[in-house]
Amino acid sequence: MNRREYPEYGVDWCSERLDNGLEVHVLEKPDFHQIYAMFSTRYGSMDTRFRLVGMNDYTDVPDGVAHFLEHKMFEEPDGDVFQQFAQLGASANAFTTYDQTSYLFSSTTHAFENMKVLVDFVQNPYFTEENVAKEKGIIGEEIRMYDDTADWRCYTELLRAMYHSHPVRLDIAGTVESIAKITPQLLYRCYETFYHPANMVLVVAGPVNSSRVVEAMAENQAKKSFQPFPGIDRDFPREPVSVREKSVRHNLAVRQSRCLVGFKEKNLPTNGSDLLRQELLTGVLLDSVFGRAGETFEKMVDDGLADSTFGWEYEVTRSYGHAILGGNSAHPEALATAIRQHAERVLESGVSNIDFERSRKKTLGRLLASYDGLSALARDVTAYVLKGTHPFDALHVLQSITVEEAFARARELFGTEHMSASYILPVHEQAQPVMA
Amino acid sequence: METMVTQNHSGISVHVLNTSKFRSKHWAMRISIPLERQLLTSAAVLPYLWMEGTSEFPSSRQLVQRTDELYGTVLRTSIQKRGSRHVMDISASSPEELYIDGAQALTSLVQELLLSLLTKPALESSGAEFSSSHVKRAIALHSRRIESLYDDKTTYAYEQAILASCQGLVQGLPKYGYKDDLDGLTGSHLFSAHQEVLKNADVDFYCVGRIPQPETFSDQMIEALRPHFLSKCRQPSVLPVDTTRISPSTNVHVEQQKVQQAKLNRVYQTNVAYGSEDYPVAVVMNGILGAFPHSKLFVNVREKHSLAYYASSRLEGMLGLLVIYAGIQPDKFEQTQSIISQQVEDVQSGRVSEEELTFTKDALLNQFRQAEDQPLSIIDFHYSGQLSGNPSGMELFREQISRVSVKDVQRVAGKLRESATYLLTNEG
Repeated sequence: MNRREYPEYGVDWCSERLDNGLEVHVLEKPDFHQIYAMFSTRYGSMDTRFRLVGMNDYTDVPDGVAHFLEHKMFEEPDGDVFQQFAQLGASANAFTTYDQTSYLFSSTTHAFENMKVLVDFVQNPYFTEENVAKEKGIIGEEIRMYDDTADWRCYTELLRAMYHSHPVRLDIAGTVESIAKITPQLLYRCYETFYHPANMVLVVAGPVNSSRVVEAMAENQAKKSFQPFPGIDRDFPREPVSVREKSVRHNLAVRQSRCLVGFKEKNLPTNGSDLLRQELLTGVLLDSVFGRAGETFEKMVDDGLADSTFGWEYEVTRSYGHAILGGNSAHPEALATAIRQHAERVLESGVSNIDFERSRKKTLGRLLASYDGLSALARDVTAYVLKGTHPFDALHVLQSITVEEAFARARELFGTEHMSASYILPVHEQAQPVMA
Repeated sequence: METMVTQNHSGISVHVLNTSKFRSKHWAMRISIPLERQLLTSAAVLPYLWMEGTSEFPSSRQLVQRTDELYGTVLRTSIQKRGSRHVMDISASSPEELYIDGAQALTSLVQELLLSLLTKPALESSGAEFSSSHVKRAIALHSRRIESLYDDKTTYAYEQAILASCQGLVQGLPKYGYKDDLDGLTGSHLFSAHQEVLKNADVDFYCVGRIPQPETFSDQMIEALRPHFLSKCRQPSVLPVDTTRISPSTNVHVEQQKVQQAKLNRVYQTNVAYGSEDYPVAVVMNGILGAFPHSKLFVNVREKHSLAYYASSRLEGMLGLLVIYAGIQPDKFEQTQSIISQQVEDVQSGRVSEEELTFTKDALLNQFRQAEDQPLSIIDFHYSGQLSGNPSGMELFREQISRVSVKDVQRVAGKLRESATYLLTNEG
């Protein structure tokens, strides 16, 4: 068992890999009331073509299966899992991303009973023709809700523009048409591939005794039998470095246009520690170059190109990565131009040491403060473990990055040949000519 | 759990919760004035104008540089509507200095900065108007803030339903004010609005975190605020919308836009004031109806009939309203309406199982216990008590929740009066 205290976060961490391969991480926060647990699998919307190691044929699945499966896990032969959690005073939820599916509960009582419900329901699939058909209406409404959400549309359309064939370009929930093809058999096939304990991680945070959690989970798992886990082959199509489209425009019933600019990552990390370093370094780079403390953001606001919705994010995995910047804009095309021009300026003049140090300090402080929320803590630890990094290395890595590395990162990341822009414009409005 | 300690002086209250539970520290300053048409838009602009700079950090950028230097301190301002009150909020949070090498003065520097937003704004040399470049920026950004309300369809439809239910009342004024007012606002208008706010407002200052000497802290804070906030006494408590002034109506307001999903919003008057004896009952009633995945709306609209991804209800305690909202297919409006009506009728006629009651109470108790782990929830809950003149603690509230019976729920549900239905739907 691994064990360590992190007084700067007020967390005692403990982790153990059980006999069947399930990784359990416990984050003790003794002064808290809340118990927050999250059970996750390395399986998301981009896993559209896969096979178990040793099998001959790949399985191709319709878009949106991982998310559909997440919805359907909540159904059991004897009713709805929400009722079981309600009986124990807990609230439950789940979410699916491009590379992860997580099930969670939050409670203040019955910690162990709730953990058992969580693990048991996720390890007990129950799909029927009838319950699958019923879910199509519900998920159809979820898809339509997102279709009307301008920020989300702008973001997903950007991914579609940036990527030629990598499945990160597909909507997480799929489309009304693609989910129509989903059957119980297909759900079982995906379940059996991706929900093996060796492909999963359980994170429990709160006022719990970590040894007791690990014992209880070991006992729970020992009662269930699983085939040995051969590993999963995911087949991602070869993705060129270039973007598929330089810019895309869509019209929605909005009053304000949106502009998001994406830089596609050329350099994909191959191991967990490189990934963590690249993620943190790029974050500090983007904040020091495009953050609110900088001259560029100030000027973009003064010129009416950006407002308080402007922001950036960076995401990187072993198979795809990108930085995305932007927000609402009265002159969306001019905002894209301003972002591109500033990126080019940085390549010429470098990254200012003062800005870099300030951003580092900010990122460090935000990280320390964020783990007062158990959901943020559990989500971060889960994400790090799934990516294969140590869950509490971030602070140390942040302290070790340098401005020279940041400049080198800028040279890899900022380039017009792998930049796309996505615009959402009010209905009936065409894109404005470039003003800048 | 440690308790919040309050010290009052005239219209100023300082609330301190000294706890070593967190690795961060949180401040909130809530400045409240009566909602009214005259000052509406100016009051809405002010909190954002304050963030444009102070005399010491005279631009928004310099202010952000300062907070970033202070280990990523989050400093933000906003305007809120709480019943018949317009509330300006300045809040800050920073990591606990004890756990960072070289950060000893962090707490006092953050506090100083937070206060300076109000007490040392950046003014023109006349000293009687805000910096004109700041005003120009703040107004441009505020105009975009008002416009963008239209873009989030769920929130937009919800707000339209509330506004339709409060027509002709101050509660029906939009929190951001009106775009048409913005053109006329100058640095001197806004500065007189600023002074008027300081003269009349109730102010509640909160700090949650490690505060070694809470009494000294409160004394110092009152001393710091006293010269600026001149109100002699606190204003009367917030009351729910006066239902005698709005007639119940089952009319449907329809708006058409180019959307995929229709948003159905139905509003009821509860006739229950926040902080009154019946309030905990109303909270339980809302839970049974639509706050949880075991609630009637979720089970019937979503799970049984697959009509929606979300179908919920929310209690607007300070307004005395209950709002039911769902995202549906435009052609399913009638069907959804009748299912919703059936759920409300079931609660009104006491068709509530023991299980529904227990699940709801347990879920609420879970929520309110978790709230004690969240500094902002602690502050929000306490502040609602302050506004309603009934600052009973969270523990008492939980006790009241656990005593609610089906009969209580039925009685309070009997007071529900439908006041408006708003449907945002596609252009068909």
